[in-house]
Amino acid sequence: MRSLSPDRATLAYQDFLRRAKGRWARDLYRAVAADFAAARDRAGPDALADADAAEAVLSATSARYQYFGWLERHLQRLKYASPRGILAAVDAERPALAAELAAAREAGVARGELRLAPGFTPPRYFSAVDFHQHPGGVAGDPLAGVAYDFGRQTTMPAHLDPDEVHRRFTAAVPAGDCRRILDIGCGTGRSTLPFAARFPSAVLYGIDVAAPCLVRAFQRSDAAGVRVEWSQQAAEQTDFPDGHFDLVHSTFLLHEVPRPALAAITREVHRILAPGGRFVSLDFHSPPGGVFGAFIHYGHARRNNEVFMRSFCETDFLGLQRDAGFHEAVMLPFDDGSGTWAADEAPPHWRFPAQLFVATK
Amino acid sequence: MTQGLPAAGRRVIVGAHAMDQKFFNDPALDRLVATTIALAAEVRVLRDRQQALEGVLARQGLVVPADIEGWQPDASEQAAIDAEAERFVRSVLGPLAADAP
Ligand SMILES: C[S@@+](CC[C@H](N)C(=O)[O-])C[C@H]1O[C@@H](n2cnc3c(N)ncnc32)[C@H](O)[C@@H]1O
Repeated sequence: MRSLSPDRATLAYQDFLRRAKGRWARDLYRAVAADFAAARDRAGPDALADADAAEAVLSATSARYQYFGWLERHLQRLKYASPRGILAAVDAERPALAAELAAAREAGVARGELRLAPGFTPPRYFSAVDFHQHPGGVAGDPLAGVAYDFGRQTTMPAHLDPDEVHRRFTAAVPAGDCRRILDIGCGTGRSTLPFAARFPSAVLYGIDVAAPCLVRAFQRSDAAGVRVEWSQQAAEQTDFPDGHFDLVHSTFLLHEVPRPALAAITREVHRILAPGGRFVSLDFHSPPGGVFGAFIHYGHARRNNEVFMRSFCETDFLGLQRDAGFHEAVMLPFDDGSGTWAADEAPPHWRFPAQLFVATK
Repeated sequence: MTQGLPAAGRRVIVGAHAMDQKFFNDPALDRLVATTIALAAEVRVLRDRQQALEGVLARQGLVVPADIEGWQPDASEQAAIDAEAERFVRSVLGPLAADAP
C-alpha cells in the first residue's frame, strides 16, 4: 500500500504544524484555563454558567483565548489546504496514486471483498460539510482516502500515537464469541483491522458512505493479509439480514451525524444485531471539566467544522439506545493514552473527550 | 440542536485562504497572525533544508561558510533564486490580501 511521500519541505512544514499543535494543546490550553478561572473569580460563578456564556466572556476579554482559537482553526486548515498542505502533496503524486488505487479497486471488486454501489448518493448532511476542514471531504476526490489517512497521523494531540486509540478501543471491547463483526463508518479501515487479532475466528465487515475510503480500506486489509467484507452503505439502512452480527462497533462516527440519523443508525444496528449482541462505540461525549470542558469542546466543534459534534453531546445517547430496544446501555471512561478524568475535572492538556459506549440487545 | 446544516446548495467550505472565522477584536490581527505563522513555518522549512544541506556538504569535506560567501550565481541559478524569493514573499503576504468572505 503506497502512502503519501511528500518532499522534504512539505514534511518539515507538516512537522512544524504538528509541533505547534503540541504547544497549543498544552501551553495555550493551560493559559485559557487560567484566564477562565480568573474571569470566574472576577465575575462570580453565575457569570460563566454555561459554555455559551464562557464563550462570550473569554472571546471578548482573553487575548490568549483569541490566539488559542486562531491556532486551532488555522493550523488544521494549513495542514490540508496550504501550498505545503496534504492536498498539494496528494496532487504532486496524483498519477501514481490514482493508478494504484484504480488497480486496488478492480482487484477488490473482482475478489468480492469490495462492494461499491455505483450511483450511490451519500446523505446530504455528509456531502454538504467539509468535516474537520478537509476540503471536499472524504468522498470528494478519488484520492480523498489517501489524504485522510495521511492527515490521521496527526489528528490526535501531538504527544499521542494516532493508532494507539484503535488498539485501546479494540482491547476495551468485551470479549466473547463472535461469528460476524461489523464496523460502521469504517473509513480507511484503521478502526476495523485491529479486530482481526482480537477475534481471530470472526468474519469482519466494514461499511462506509465514502467509496474513496473503502478502496483505501481494502488496500489496508489486503496488505495485512486479512479478509474484510467492505461495502458502500449508509449505516441508517443496510442490506444485512436481521440478527446478522454479534458485534457492531463504530469509531468517531456518531459525532458526525445529525440527531435523526443518529436515531436511525441506532435502530438499524439493533435490527442487525443478534439477541445478546453488542453495539460498542468510541465517540466524543460528556467532556470532563464542567463548563470549562464544554466551552473548549464546543469551541473545537465550531472551529473545526464539526457541525454535529455539539448536538451529539447534547443528546441523551444512552436513552436513545434504550428507546431503540437495547436493554442495557452504559457509558464508560476511555483512556486514549493520556489518562481518564472525572466529570468535574479538567484535563491538564487538550484532549478529545472520548467515551466508550456499550449497549446490549 | 444548536448547529445544523447550511442552507441547501451551500457547503461548509474551507478555501485555501478561508478567513471566515474571526478570533480577534480587530480583524487586522487575524491576518497579521496568519502572516506570522506562515513566516514561522517557512523559516522552519528553510532551517531544515539548510541543516540537511550542510550535513551533505560536510560529508563531502566542503567548508561551507567560506564557499557560500564567495559564491557567484550564474544566470539560471539567479533566476531560480528570484523565483523562490518571489514565492516566499507571496506566501508571507498572501493572508493580508486574501478575500475575507
Ligand atoms: C471520522 S471518520 C472515522 C473513520 C474510522 N472509523 C476511523 O476511526 O478511522 C467517520 C467516517 O464515517 C463515515 N460516515 C459518515 N456518515 C456515515 C453514515 N451515515 N453511514 C456510514 N458511514 C458514514 C465517513 O465517510 C467517515 O469515513
